[in-house]
Amino acid sequence: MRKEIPLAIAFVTGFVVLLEYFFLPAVPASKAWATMLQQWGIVVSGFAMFVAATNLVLVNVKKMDPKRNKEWYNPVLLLVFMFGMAFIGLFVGERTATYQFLFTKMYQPLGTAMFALMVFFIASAAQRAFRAKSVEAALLLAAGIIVMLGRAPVGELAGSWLPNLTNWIMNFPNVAGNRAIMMGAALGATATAFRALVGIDRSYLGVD
Amino acid sequence: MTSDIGIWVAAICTLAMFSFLWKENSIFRSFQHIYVGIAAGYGMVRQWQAINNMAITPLLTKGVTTWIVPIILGVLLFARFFKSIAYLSRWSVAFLIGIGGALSIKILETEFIRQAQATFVPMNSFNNIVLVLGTVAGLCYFYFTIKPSTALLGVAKLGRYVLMISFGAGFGNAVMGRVSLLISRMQFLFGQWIYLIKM
Repeated sequence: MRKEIPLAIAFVTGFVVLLEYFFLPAVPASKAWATMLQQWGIVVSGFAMFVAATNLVLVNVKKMDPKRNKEWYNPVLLLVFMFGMAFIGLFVGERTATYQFLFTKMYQPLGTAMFALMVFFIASAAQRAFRAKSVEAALLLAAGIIVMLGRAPVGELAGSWLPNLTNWIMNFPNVAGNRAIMMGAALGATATAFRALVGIDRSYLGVD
Repeated sequence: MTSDIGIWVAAICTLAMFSFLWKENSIFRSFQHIYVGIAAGYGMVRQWQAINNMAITPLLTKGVTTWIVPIILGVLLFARFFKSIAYLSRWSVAFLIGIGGALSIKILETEFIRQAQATFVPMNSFNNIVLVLGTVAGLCYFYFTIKPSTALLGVAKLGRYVLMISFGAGFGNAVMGRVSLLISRMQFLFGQWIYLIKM
């Protein structure tokens, strides 16, 4: 029963949501059931965040040993800021100056700087990977360079043709390619979801 | 140079992150841990508010008892930390898989049918021909069900070219997105922190 009950839960919940969508959109009760299950899903996935936080605590507590870890203070910092942010947000209030300070003066600058850093790594990877050795590679390189130049102020200095060409690439070949990927991925996602719902794919149950 | 403590803290956070460009160092790692800690704390606050507003408040104030079910399923997720009852967490995971799987099938309408509808445009201009042929050729590249004929291979090759242009455009956009983040950080450092440029 350890596997049968979860398989039944997945099948029934999936079936109720799909039933409302495909077969019974006109029946109010089916819509109410499907909406309720989706709202329950939001609540259950909210608890998943706390499972993740518990796991983060367990992993980092193990790393706090100064004998084993030279930088034992890093997990301490992580947990102090995690519990600090959570405590202030939950018990003191989100509108307090301390919470706003942590969010706008630390969380946002750190996040933006971390993502900005990636430009250097993308550029360095591109410098090594972009070699026009085939038609495909040449198209990739040309499209990338045109879009980068067309999106930068320097592109407009070359004339209006470069931003126009960029817009054309974005609106036609790029849309065509992305549409093909999206349609292929949608079919793949449907097949995978169907396999999970009917119990053919049971990998989410893990192993005993 | 500013005397605002908040801007100083934000500047130190930014510089600590950028110190990785020199080499991976202990200051970068410490600030990386701080970032993960704040992000996790922020996530906990947001999720608790969702649980509280959607389930706990209606249960306690309005007596909507059906909310007990998702709360129990949520609590069961913690069973994975106790070996003897770890299997109970599968119930909650299965519930999420059921909802997520059904929603994945539902997106077939927007991600497949609507996209196909949008591709049915009159082939009366070069742009429309590029759009239709590009999409069909791209789909042919992903067609693995039968042994491909020479004609299909030719169309699939054209599809590969279209996909490469898409990837190139996507790469260019990703780079420019990151560059704008870098510019915003530089403007902050040189404008708001050390007043080297006018904001």
